[in-house]
Order: sequence, then C-alpha cells, then structure tokens
Amino acid sequence: MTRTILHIDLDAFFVSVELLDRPDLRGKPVAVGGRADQRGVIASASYEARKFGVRSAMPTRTALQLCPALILLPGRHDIYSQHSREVISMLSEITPQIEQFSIDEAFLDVTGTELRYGSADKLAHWLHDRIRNELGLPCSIGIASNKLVAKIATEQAKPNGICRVPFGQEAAFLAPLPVRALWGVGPKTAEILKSMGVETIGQIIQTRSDTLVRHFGQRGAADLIRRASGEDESPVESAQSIKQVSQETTFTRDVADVSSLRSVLLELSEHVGARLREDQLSARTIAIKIRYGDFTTFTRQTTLPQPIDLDQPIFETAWSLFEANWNRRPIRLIGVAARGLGLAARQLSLFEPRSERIDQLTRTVDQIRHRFGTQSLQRGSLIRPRKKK
Amino acid sequence: MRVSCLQENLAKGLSIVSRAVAARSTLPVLGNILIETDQSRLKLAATNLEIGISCWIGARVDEDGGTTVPARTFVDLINALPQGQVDMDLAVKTQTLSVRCGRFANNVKGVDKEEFPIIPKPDEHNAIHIAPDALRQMIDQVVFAAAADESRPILTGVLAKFSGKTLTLAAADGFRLSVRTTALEDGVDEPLEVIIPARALAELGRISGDQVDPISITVTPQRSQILFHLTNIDLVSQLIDGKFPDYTAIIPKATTTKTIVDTGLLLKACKAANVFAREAANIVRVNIVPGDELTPGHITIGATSAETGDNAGDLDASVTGTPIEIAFNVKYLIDVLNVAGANQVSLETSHPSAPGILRAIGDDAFTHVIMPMHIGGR
Amino acid sequence: MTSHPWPVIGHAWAVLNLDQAATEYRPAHAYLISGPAHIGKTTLARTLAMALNCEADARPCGQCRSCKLIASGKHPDVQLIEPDGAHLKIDQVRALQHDLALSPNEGRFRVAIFNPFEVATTEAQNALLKTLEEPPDYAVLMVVTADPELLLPTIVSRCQLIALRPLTITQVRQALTTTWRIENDRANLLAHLSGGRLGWAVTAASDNSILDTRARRLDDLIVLLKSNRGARFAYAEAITRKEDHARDAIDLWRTWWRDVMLAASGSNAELVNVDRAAQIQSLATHLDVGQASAAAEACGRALWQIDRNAVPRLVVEVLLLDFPHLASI
Repeated sequence: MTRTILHIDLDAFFVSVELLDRPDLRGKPVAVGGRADQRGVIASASYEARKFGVRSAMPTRTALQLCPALILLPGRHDIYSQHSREVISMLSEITPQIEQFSIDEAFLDVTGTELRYGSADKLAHWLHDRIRNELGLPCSIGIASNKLVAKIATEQAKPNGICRVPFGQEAAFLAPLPVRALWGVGPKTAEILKSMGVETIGQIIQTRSDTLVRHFGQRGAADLIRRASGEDESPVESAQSIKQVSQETTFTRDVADVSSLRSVLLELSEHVGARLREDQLSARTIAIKIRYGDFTTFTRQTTLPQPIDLDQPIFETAWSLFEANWNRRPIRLIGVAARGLGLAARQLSLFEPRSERIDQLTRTVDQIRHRFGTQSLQRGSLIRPRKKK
Repeated sequence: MRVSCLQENLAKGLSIVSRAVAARSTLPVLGNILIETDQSRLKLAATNLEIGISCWIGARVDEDGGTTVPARTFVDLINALPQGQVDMDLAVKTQTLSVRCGRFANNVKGVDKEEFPIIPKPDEHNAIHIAPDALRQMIDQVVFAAAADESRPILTGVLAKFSGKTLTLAAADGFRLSVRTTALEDGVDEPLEVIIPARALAELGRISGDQVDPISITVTPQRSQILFHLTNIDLVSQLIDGKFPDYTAIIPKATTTKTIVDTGLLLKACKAANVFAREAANIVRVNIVPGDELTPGHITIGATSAETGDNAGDLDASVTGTPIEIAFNVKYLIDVLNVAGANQVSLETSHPSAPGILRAIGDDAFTHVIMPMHIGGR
Repeated sequence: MTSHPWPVIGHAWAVLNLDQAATEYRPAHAYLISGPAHIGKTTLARTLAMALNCEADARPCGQCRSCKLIASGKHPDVQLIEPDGAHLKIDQVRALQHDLALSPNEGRFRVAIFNPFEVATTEAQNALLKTLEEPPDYAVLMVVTADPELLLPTIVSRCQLIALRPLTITQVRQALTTTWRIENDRANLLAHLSGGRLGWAVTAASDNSILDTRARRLDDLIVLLKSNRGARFAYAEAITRKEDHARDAIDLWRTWWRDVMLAASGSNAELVNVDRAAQIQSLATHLDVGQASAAAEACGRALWQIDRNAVPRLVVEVLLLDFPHLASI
C-alpha cells in the first residue's frame, strides 16, 4: 500500500520562538547560540542572518565576522521544549502515527486520513496555517510516500513552504540534488563519490553497481542505490513504542578532562535511571554518544545479560563504553541512552541482598528528588567546588 | 604402533571422546585425539584441559605405540569408512598414521603424543562407588542450576560433598539453587568437598547412559582433579578452586504458605504462560489462595505481554497458610518441574521478595530454591 | 657464585630472588618484569615457570617433560599471552580467568605471562585487576613491559617489581661465544652493537639482514652528510614509509654520533661501532666535540618525539637538517 508521510520542520525554530517575545527583532539578522568568547556555535539563525551566510553549527566568531550586525541571543531550552510540545500535541490530534524526530521536526503517517482531512496537500496547508496562526511559528512541510523523500522535500520547501513529491516521482525528484542531500551521505561518502565523478543523486543510479560495490561493499552499495532511487521502508515510529530513554549535554567549551567527563556521565546516567524508574521501565542496552569538537559524532552500545534500571550499573556500563571508545580528543557533546526497554522486573538475587539495599536507596533518592528537586540530593563526586572570588 | 579393530567400535569410541576435544585453544595438540595401545586394547583420549575423556575399545595389538591425530580429520575419516576391520600402522619417525579399511588406504598426519597433556589414572583403592542411575538423576536435578556466565567462576561449578554414606550435589547461579543428596554404596572416612565444573557433570550424564556397573569416583591427592571410572570409559575433570557459598543459609527455615499441586498440571500451566511471558522478561505472576471447607485452594499462573496478549491458568491445589501473589521467571519454574520426578510438588513461599522452595512430594532428598522477580518501581 | 641451574644470562640479582622463591615454592602472585626490548624479560619469566613446575631436584632441569613443554610453549599450565592484533584485549583476560579458576593440569602452578602488557586496553587492565586482588594459590601472573609508567598504577602496585637492565658488553660477548658458539670477532662486534640486549645480538647473529641493514644505514648517513637539503628531504620521505624504519635508523645514528663525539674528544672509551673505527676517527677530524654531541642530542630528541606520536617524516626532516653539512669527507 502506498503510504503518505508528512515531514514537518519548524523554520529557524529557536529564533522563531525568541521572536514571539521580541517582535521588535523581526526582520533583523538574529541568531541563538553560544558566545564567541566561549567558542560558542550558532544553534539557529533567522533567514535574514542566513543571507549573510550565517548557518547553524557555525562558530559564533565566524558568524559575527560574516554579519557584524548579528543580534545574538542565549538559548532558553526549556522555553523551546515547551513550544515543541505544543506543536507535537497539535499534530497528535491528526494521527497517533507521529514520530518526533528532534525538537523541531516530526514525521506523520497520514495514510488513510483523506476521508477526514481531504488530500494530503489540503491537510498540509491546513496544518501549516494552524501552526502559524495558533502557535505563531513558521514551518515547512514535505509530503511524500516515505520518510526519506518527505524530509528532503521539506528542505526544498524551506522557508515557510510546502513541497509534495507525487508517488512514482521520487527518483526524478532526487536526481538533480547534490549527493549530500541524501540521508546518510556524510562528507566521507560524498568525497568518495566525488572521486568517482558522482556529484548528484541521479548520478549514483547511473554509476555501475560493481564500482559502487568496490567502494562501499555489497550491502553499502545496495543501500545507497535504494536510497538514491527514493526508496525507504522505515516506519513512522510513534511515541507509544519509544525506543529509548536518553539524556545528553553539550558543553560550552570542549572538554577533555577525564574526571569532569566522568562526573558528567554519572549525572546523565542518573537522569536516565530516574526516568526509567519513573516509567517503570528497565533497559537491556546502554548506549553512549560522543561528539568531538569537529562535530564528528558516534554512538556505541552494549547489551547486558539482565535488564537494569539503577543508576550505578547504567553508569558503570556507560563508563566502560566511554573508556573503550574515547580517543582523548576534546568532546563537545556527550550522551547516555537506555534502549531495549521492557517492563521493569528484576530477578532478585540469592546471594546479594546488598543490591536490594542499593535498589531501595536509589528509589528513596528518587522520591526525595521528586519532592525537593533534582539538586536536593547529589553524589559527592558531582558537587562542584565553589569558585573562590 | 600396529593395531586392528572394528570400524563400528572405533567410530563409537571417537564419538565419546571427541566431546572433550578443545574447540580452539592456544595449544594446537588439544585439537587432537590421543590414540595408543594399552595392554591388549586401544585407548582413545581427548582433553580440553577442563574435561578429559578416555575410552578403551577391543583391538588386536601387533605392536605397541601411539600418536595423536587431528580430531576433525580422523573422526570424519573413520565415519566415512565402511563397516569392518580397520588396520592402523604408525610410522614413528614421520608420525604418520596409515589407516586401512577394505580397499581404502589413508594416511593421517599426527603429532607426537609426548606433547599431549597427561590424563591421570584413577586410583581404585580410594574409590567411592555410586549407582549410575542415582548419579544421573542427581546430575539432571542439579547441573541446570549452575551459572552459565563466567563472572563468578565458582558458580559455574557444582559443589560435591561426600560425607559418611551420602553424596550431596548443589549448584546455584545466583537466582536459584538446586540440592540433591543420595546414598553411596560405600561410605567415606573423611568428609570431602570439591567443586566440579557443571560442564563435566553434564558430559558424565551423557556418556553414562549405557553404564550398568557402579561408577567409581576418585579425587587426586592434590585435589586438583576428579575421576569418574566407567566400564571402558574414564572422565577426568579439573576442579574449580575456591569456596562455594554457604547454600544452607539460603534455604528458608520456615515459610508461611505451602501449596501442593500436581506436577504435570503445573508444568502445563507454566508452558502456556510462557507463550506470553517470553515476550515480557519471562515474568509469570503466581497467585495462591487457600481454600475453605467448601472450595479447594487455588494456584493461578498468569502472564501478560503488551504485544501478544495475556493468559491465566487456574489449578486446584492444597494450600495451607496465607494467600500470596508472587512473580517468578517462568523458565526457572519449567526447568525445575521438568526434573522434579514426582507426581506432586510443593511450593513454599513467604513474601513476594523472599525465596520460594520447591520440593518433590515423597522425595526429601531434592530441594530447589528460586528467587522471585520484583515488579515495578515503588 | 651461585649454583642455581637457571639458563639465564646476566640479571643475577633478579635470578637470585626468583630462584629462592621457586626453591621454596613460594612465588609472589604477580611479578612485573620491566626493561628495554630484547634483554631477556620473557626468558626470565618462562624460566621461573620452568623452575616452579620442574619435576627434577635441581630446578629447572631443562630436561624433564615439564621443562621441555614450557620451553616450546606447549605446557598446559603455562600461557604466554600476547596482543591479539594491536592490543591485548579483555576477552584474552577473561579466557585466562576461566582457566585460572581450574586447578593446574600437570604442574604445581598455573603461570600466565603477559607480553607486553602496555598494549593491553584499559578494559583488559581493569579486568586483570580483579585477578590480581584475589588470585588462587597456584596462580602466578607475570606482567612484562618495557615501561611500567605505561600501565595503570593499580596494576603496578599489586605486583612485585623486577626491573631488568641491559647486560654488559662482556656478558653479551661471553654468552655469544660460549652458549651460541659464535666466533670471537663477530661476537665482539655484535656485543658492542647490542647495547646490552642479548636477545638482539642472538637474533642478529642468525639473521644477516640485520647487520646488512645497519651497514647500509651508516653508509647512508655518510652520504647524507655530503648531501644538500633536497636529498635529505627525499631520504626522510623514503625512510618513513615503513613503520619503525626511521626509529631504528635514528637509534643507530645516535650510537654513531656518540662514537664520533668520543673520538673527537680523544677519549679512550670503547666505541659501539667498533668495526667502523677508522671511519669514525676520520670523521672526528672534520668536526669538533660540540657538533658531534649536538647531533647525538638531536637523535635523542627525535626518538623522544617519535615515541610520543609525532609525525615521523617531519621529525626526520628536522633531524637531518640538524646534522652538519660536510662537503669533503
């Protein structure tokens, strides 16, 4: 059956939210990001700022060189999350088949909603208007028969537009686009493709498959051809089937100090553990995510013999993953995720009543934090020394 | 070495010893099978340094000697030969074993038997004797409870306690404990405790199927190995060093609810629950309610899976004590019910987070303890 | 004089200590044997394993089944654990822990020799800590390393330390002539070149390519001294194509510049490159002590940088530019 997938992306989301509170800044080059003197980067830039070449993930210092008049605002992530939730809840009225992809992006599987909302085009325009009129936020929407093409369609729709790729036209739509537009084609793959004279997605399909196999292996090549043809079977994964509980943090300055990273990882593990226990879930798999100063990012995970929901084993697992995979370069972002979630049921142990006591302790700590806030009780190793004046 | 035997005997002997061949090892010779003359028989042996198995088969020995041959090659070759007489002749200098059978002529390259680890011989003077079916039942009822993962090596072993005229085997993987005692044919003067790798006992259970005479057991003087001597087969196992946890402290002295139920029906209920439980961390909820003058007691086994559905199996039972709801890993219940070997079992419980005891009615020699599962957060 | 039958050359103090432990069957649970490459660390470890498991009265006898199996690396209770690829991995430590839980098969002791342990991953080192804390009575762990500072301090603190030093030239020469039956002149040269590393000398005695390479690199050096920058850059590029080549060459050149320095200062100290004495003397007439010692120091600096992962090509380029330019030699 042909699916209809909508991809909704809030335009310059952080900036758009800020403009709700600061209408005086409309029409001006505005960006949300870290300070230049702290090696900050741009998180979001208005379209006026983008005209000067300002882009997200660009060092703020560079952005200010390109656009000296840039108005830089510090981020207020709790406010953004709140607006994000409002958008998601509005989208959830259409269909439960919704996958929040990031704070400002979501996929909707609207297959079979025609009777109620009319054609996908009509639904998209209606949603677009509602998000702008009721929530005050501009967005762009891509419509296609799968997630891959819908997301790329949104890129073409930006800013503030709607782009539909009719079923059957996926490959033709992708063909003229640069290879980097394709999901999963990073700088390395693009470099290899370029060395083969391949610069557009259409050229990937025209390339002899044995050439691709030589560079990317049998599976890699098949996968690349499939995606270049605009094929993607991945389902829209709704929140009911949440795949993971995760927590990550971005440093204002890159960090390479082991003991700081260790205590951050412990803090993240505690967050993840607390959320697991709150939802009465336990995890079979623990993953870590590391992003270095140059934005290269990777995740590593390990699966455990017994599901866990306590901070200590989550941290120990995350820490050993970290130790085994960190190459000692300074780190910009670090995260911990719990996957393979299931009902929190623990097999009690014959010999280790001690673990039951730790369990009891952790749950008591959860209760205290629930009543008095997360900072009310902390591990000694997480308390930062007060700075002397 | 020059020796002749029957292909079918050789093939059977190889199938027994090849279970001890090391799958991969830093010592290449452990991938080989020792083949040597021993008085007027042919001895086959293999070891992975944890378990060693030797087997003797009837043969005509024309010239004494021996070598070691690669197990895979030799076993495949012998199995491919037709039934009938196999003649083997070793060229000592090149360690090449010529194997002839009918019109098949083969040469297998061997390795000097000097490189093969020494497998100790049993000392019949100090042997302890036990009936093979009694030992096999003990193995069946205990070995499955030993730990499969190696994080605590001692729990991968089975504690064997020889004391007076009884032998006790106990194994525990940290979540369950299985204990069985049995009478010895002749007692021991000094109590003796050793820890035997569970794998060795499982292997012993497998190769002792045809055994009729009592099995004799000896422990080497340095207490580093235990030997099981069967008719024409020896199994030697290294022992695990260390102190086994005090399992007697784990078995609850008193419980508040005792449920007696038909073993087969309970097993069926558990298997039905497993259909759903396997999607949900193997959890089954066991609900036990005592009866009164008019109605019998009940035990209900239920499982719920978010994806596949739920079930509940209700059984009549004789329940004394207080009602209780307790959760178990259904696999652990199935494992023990499979080997309980009695028509009825009793399940004794006290608290949803306290151990449960399962016993076979009419057989005091078997005790099984299972820790429950704890569900949910607060 | 000691009467121990240990087939170990030099390292008298360490042998004395280990021999006593073996005689009383009271070895430490863990030893850390450190020292430069090719001086006999693994040999010492293996010999202790032989002494502990030997079946004869005077241990190790070298003749019994146990000694022979250990010498050929085939004893079921003695394991040499070497890196699997670039690293020594946690799986290897776990496999050992499985074996250590079982009592010894044939011998009195289970001995594990880790060589070299500095390439063990942090995970592997941490995993081994558990065993170092509560080893079974029959277990002896021997951790071999070039430099204890490269290991986790918690590993080092749980081991008895045995630091081996290079042998004297006389010890190496004697060993080569008596044990390996190498004729005097060749033994003398190898002893001098070995820097006290007997293992290197023995290998070089049987593998001619080692001395050939050395001769070629010294000839290269003479040519380089006469060459312009372009030729030096080309050489730096060529020699850093293969890993280790540059390091070996710089190590060699350092001994050469030290010899030149000695010759220029008129010292009577023994040269390392004894076979090239004439060449060294003649070069010394073109240079002063300061120039030669500066070149030797530059070599030392280059080695230090390479060991700390500097880009070898750049290091060699800088080094070759530091070498003097001598148009007429």
